Amino acid sequence: MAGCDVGSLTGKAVLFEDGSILSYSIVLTTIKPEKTAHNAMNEALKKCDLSLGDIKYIVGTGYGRVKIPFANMNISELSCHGKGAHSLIPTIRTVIDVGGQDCKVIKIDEEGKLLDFAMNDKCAAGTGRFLEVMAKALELRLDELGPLSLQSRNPVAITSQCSVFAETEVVSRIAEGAEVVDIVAGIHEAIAARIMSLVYRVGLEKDITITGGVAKNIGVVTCLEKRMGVEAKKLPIDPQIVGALGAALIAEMKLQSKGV
Amino acid sequence: MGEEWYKKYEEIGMEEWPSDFSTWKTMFLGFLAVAKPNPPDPFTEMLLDMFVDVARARMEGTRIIMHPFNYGPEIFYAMNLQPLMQEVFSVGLAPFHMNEPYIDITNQIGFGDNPTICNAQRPLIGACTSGEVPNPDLLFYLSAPCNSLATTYQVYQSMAGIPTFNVDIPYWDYDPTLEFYDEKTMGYVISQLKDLISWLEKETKQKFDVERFKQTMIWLNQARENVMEHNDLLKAVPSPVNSLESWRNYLIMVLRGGTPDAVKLTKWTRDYAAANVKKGIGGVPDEKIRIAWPYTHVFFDQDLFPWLEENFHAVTIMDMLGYYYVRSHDTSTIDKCFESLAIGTLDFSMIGTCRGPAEYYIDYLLRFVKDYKVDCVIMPIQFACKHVYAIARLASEAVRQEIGIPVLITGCDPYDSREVPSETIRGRIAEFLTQIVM
Amino acid sequence: MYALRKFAEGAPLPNPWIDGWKRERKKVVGYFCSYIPDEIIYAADILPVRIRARGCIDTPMGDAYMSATTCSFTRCCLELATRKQYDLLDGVVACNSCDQVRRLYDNLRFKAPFPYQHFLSIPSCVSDVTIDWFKHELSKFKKNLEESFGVKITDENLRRAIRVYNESRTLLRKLYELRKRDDPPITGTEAMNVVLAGVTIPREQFNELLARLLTEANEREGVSNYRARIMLVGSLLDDPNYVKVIEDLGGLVVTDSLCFGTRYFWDLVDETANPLEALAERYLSKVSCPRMTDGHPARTKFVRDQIKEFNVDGVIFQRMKFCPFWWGEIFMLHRELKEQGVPCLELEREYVLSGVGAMKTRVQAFMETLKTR
Repeated sequence: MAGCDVGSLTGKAVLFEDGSILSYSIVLTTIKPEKTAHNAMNEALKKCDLSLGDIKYIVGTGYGRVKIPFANMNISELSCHGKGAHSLIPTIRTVIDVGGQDCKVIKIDEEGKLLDFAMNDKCAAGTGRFLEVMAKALELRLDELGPLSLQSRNPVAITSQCSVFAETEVVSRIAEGAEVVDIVAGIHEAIAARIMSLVYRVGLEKDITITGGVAKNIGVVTCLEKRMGVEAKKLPIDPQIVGALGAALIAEMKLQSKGV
Repeated sequence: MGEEWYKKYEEIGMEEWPSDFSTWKTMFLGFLAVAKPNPPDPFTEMLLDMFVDVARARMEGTRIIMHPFNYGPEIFYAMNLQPLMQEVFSVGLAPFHMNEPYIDITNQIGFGDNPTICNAQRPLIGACTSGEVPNPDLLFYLSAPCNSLATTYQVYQSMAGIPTFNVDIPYWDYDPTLEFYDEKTMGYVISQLKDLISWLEKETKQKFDVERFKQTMIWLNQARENVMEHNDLLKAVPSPVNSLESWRNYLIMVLRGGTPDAVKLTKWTRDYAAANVKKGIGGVPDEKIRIAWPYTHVFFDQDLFPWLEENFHAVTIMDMLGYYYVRSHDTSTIDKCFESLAIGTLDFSMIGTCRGPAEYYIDYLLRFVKDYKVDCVIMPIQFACKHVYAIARLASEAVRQEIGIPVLITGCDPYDSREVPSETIRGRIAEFLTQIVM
Repeated sequence: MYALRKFAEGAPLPNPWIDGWKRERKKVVGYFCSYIPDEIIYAADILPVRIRARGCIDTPMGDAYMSATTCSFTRCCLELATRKQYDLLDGVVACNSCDQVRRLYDNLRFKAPFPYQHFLSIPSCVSDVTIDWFKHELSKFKKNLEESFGVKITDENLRRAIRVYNESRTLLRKLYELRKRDDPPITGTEAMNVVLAGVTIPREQFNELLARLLTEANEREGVSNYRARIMLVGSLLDDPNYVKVIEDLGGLVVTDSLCFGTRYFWDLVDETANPLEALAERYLSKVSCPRMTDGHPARTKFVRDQIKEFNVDGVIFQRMKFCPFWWGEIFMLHRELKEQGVPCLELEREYVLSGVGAMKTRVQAFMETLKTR
């Protein structure tokens, strides 16, 4: 079976059988969700020399889930992320997913089923977009930001609520002569603060993990862990594919309940 | 001599206060620290005494009743209660930025956000959950002027489980020919205030003392007479008081109205203004610009007015809280006392101007601008303040049409320095004053 | 179903019924709030129509005069008024439902006045004193209508209007009763169209259609392929498409606490008492909205009762952006229901349906947390 997660920035597919991942893929989104879904699926299929017909059940998820032509059904990315994270570390109860354009906090029960959630998909603050905008403003590479932020001893407070104004604020701080390291640290504090407000809405419960593209940023992870007062469990796979994994697991459940 | 008055408060500050008064005590000490370098004055003592009185009431078992910023405490004093004005927790904390953590807590628990519900009341909800702010024994509020107040107090009542009484303020159709409210409106408010008294009798198990009430109203009206004279004196050019001095009477009336203290204090402010007028002294040296400020102060920036005075010789003669319609009335009979109480309720800060149609606000502003020879109007409006922001444009058009002076409308959060920082606000006002007014 | 089709036609503004009414040279007066007793308008043989702003997409005038951080419903109304889209109305009646509506009324008077305008000062708490005040306001209103439109509203007119309106209320209650079933004969989307038509077309014709709907409903096959039974609670909502988004994801809306829902019709007016007194009493004490500062315990009880009686699986709260009253109310209600173990979802929205993708994600995820049927 397979799970296919069509997000706003990337498309992911996970092929799954007998309790293990056969292959997975991460592709860039195209303007048509159908195309993205095909691209992601084809790449994953190629890696293990399979074809679409070999897959018995496919669950779609993500922003473009209703447009995935080969999906048997679709499930919200909230449920999928929860399920996926739980299957890897069964003690997880809170999943913080920070993607390219949105941010979610997911609460699950001991079986990995969705209990509660909080989302921000209305503005860039607290998402990967925020980091992208800042990287550009500071003329740095996105993957440089995290490690750089850890070098600061004195983060500069970035107080603007809106990322557009925050960008202006950063430019002013540079002009005033603030250290780039400190500004980068301030940016990470700001994004962590926004994510934390969602965490409060849902309530923190151990164990916690962080998924999504921004989970690869050591600076954000460190800030969050400090604010939560607890270490986030690291998942043994690429955090970007957790949603597709969860979808694949749900596909498996559906197959089992059908008695196939 | 100066040392003694300070020492008295310093000693009180070193005593132990009830545990849920920790923020209250910090505020007291903060105000004391600010007051220390200045010579003693009765107004500052009144502010400091307010902190002490509320703490003492808790320690002695006097019931504390919380009320909003637009209702005078006279009834509560008449019934032996200790009033606690709710907005001390936002207005009082804002200059020290101490309300901001409470705003953050309120945001975290999911009650409102900046452009939806005003931060004049919202920090109370955050403070309630943290236990650092005293819960009163009784809660009182009005339906006016706004929904932010009505909804936040409903939530507070629900969270803290405090016995509560509401008074509904009538909207009252606009009729510019009426000087006094019609009988039906008066009757409506008086009946509710009498219901309030019955409720207080039940809650405090005390009988309403008619003679004490009458005396309270006599003092209240004596204070009102002083305020009326003071307001008249503000018409002088140059203004006899500076910007921060001009709103003292409001604080005196909302914290001490109905007591002999208020009579003394309002006489003191009146005498001060009168003396300056006689000598031709201005509250701001070399006054150049007279500002009407028909909104609240930007509370987190206490130095804004001194900065305007120093850099632009601009005096803010009125603000919406400091300047309201004050009339004094006949208190010879009990019925007349109740009428006086009701009229005062309807006329008070932000109730008189904001409870009714836009004309109430616009006419208030136009009248002030004309009588007080104002040069420009500045309105730094809270984003969440629907009832003013949604008629600010109408008011601005009316001022420009009828009087022709410039108006600045600028959005901000007077309680949260992080929303629109003071540099930005000062920058906008500076630009307005230099480019347009001067 | 004939009746449902007719209701869908009668829900929007304008519609063939209003055209017909106007062709007879009769008057139409718009009003803003479920707290305004439109029986009084009806008793004057004037068609009372609840004002809506469907079709408004952008609000430059609304933003300029009322600020962009004000309720989008009121901004849309001001926008449409300045574009002369309310010319079918011969007048408007507003009240102090909330700051935004009362400021909308002010802006309308200054910028896009109607031939007839009246404002009701409606109390925000319930007591003998406030009911008496409301009665006084209603009597002023009645006289004002009479003078402005040259009509006489007799006691008999009023009593008749009350009877007709009570008939609607009784029929609507009966309709909602049918939704208690495991297979309700109508969806929430359809029910909303019914109530919308009720505040838009002549009342007697509405009652006829409603009676017909009740018969047709009994013969209709019920809806049974849904995932969960939902109660919808919150701000002014007059867009059946919003309800449809929820229902398309399997959340059948079986009851509500909405302006264009139970809050409009649930309680009857006492036909035995003096008409104005009866109206004042009923309208002030009815199933309330958070403008009534002393009404929260009763509102919670109402929601709890509805959950029980309609076998509700989950509550969806929706509040209009920038609405202080509903944020406070939902904040309190959500906590209270959570204690009881009732699953709840909070949604924020604008007057104009937007962000459907985001809404669908949340609603679908919420469905996934509920026990599967």
